[in-house]
Amino acid sequence: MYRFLFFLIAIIIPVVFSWWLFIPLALLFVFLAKIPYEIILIGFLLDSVYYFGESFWFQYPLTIFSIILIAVACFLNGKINWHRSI
Amino acid sequence: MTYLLKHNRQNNFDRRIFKKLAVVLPVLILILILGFSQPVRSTVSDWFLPLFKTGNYFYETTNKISENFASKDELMTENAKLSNEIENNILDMIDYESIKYENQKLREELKMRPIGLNVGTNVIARPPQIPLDSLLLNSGIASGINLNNFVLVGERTLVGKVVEVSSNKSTAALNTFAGALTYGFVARTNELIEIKGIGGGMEAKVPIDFDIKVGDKIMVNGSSAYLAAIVGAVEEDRSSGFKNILLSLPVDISKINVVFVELQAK
Repeated sequence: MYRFLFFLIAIIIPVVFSWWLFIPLALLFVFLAKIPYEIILIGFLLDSVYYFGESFWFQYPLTIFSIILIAVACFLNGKINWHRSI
Repeated sequence: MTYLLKHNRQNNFDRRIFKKLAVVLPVLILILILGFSQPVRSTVSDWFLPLFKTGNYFYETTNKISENFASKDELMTENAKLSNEIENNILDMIDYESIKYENQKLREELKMRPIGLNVGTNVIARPPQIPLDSLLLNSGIASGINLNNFVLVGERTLVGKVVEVSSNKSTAALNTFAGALTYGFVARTNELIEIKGIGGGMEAKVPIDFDIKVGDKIMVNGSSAYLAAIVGAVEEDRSSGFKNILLSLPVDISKINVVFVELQAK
């Protein structure tokens, strides 16, 4: 339940206030939840409405950031345990 | 914060990674396929529209908070100043209407092409809500907007181009968008110039003998000549033999709620 709420917050706050808030929220989500794959979807949705530039890397910067973040989280999950609240 | 080191057998770790990849990879492939699909972009923009409007309202409100704390004397001075400005604007508007009518007649007599068809649209979101130097507009293909259409403020000020368009929304990149190139000419001398967006402003590099000074207007040819930038600083670099020109947009984007999109593709 909390995970779903955080998913909604991670969509709403960047759209209402500022797009870059997605980055700290994604980091917070990774800290709080166990491997939150949802952020890839959020990153993709946000990339769909924002314009960062023409090239592939600029068309999907938040999706790429989310994928890298999840990959790092997957890698570290096997080595380090960090506190999970949701 | 407490960290515990966990020792795992290598085989289990590999298997887990493989299982995760089996879930993540199809999702990623699906996302990439959907990413190129125009209806997906259009639908997502429609979903987020109320959120963008809420954010826009929030920033407009917060920008006005300081005005509520002005002293009475300041308000009276400002009131008198605004009254004078209104009177001047009424006179300017009468002049403008007569010049506009004259211009229209001359164009007809000289058989010049008419000023392009424009569609007015609201700005739904602007920086800092969305990335720097872009605007989210409330009209799209349904209103006749296409990629690379000029985005105007008023009739004569060009601020950018449409770079993304869906059925009911479009995104405009301003001339100041990093890497955006604009080709125009200096209004005073008619010399051609290429200006490049650098994020928050524009720059141009010209030979040292190029005639340009602070306050010069840069015009761009469309269906008529549009004002695209104003020279803010000129830096001479004698060692390289070039001048670096720094330019800004002629209008303050944070105060604009309605823009016009020229419907003819350029």
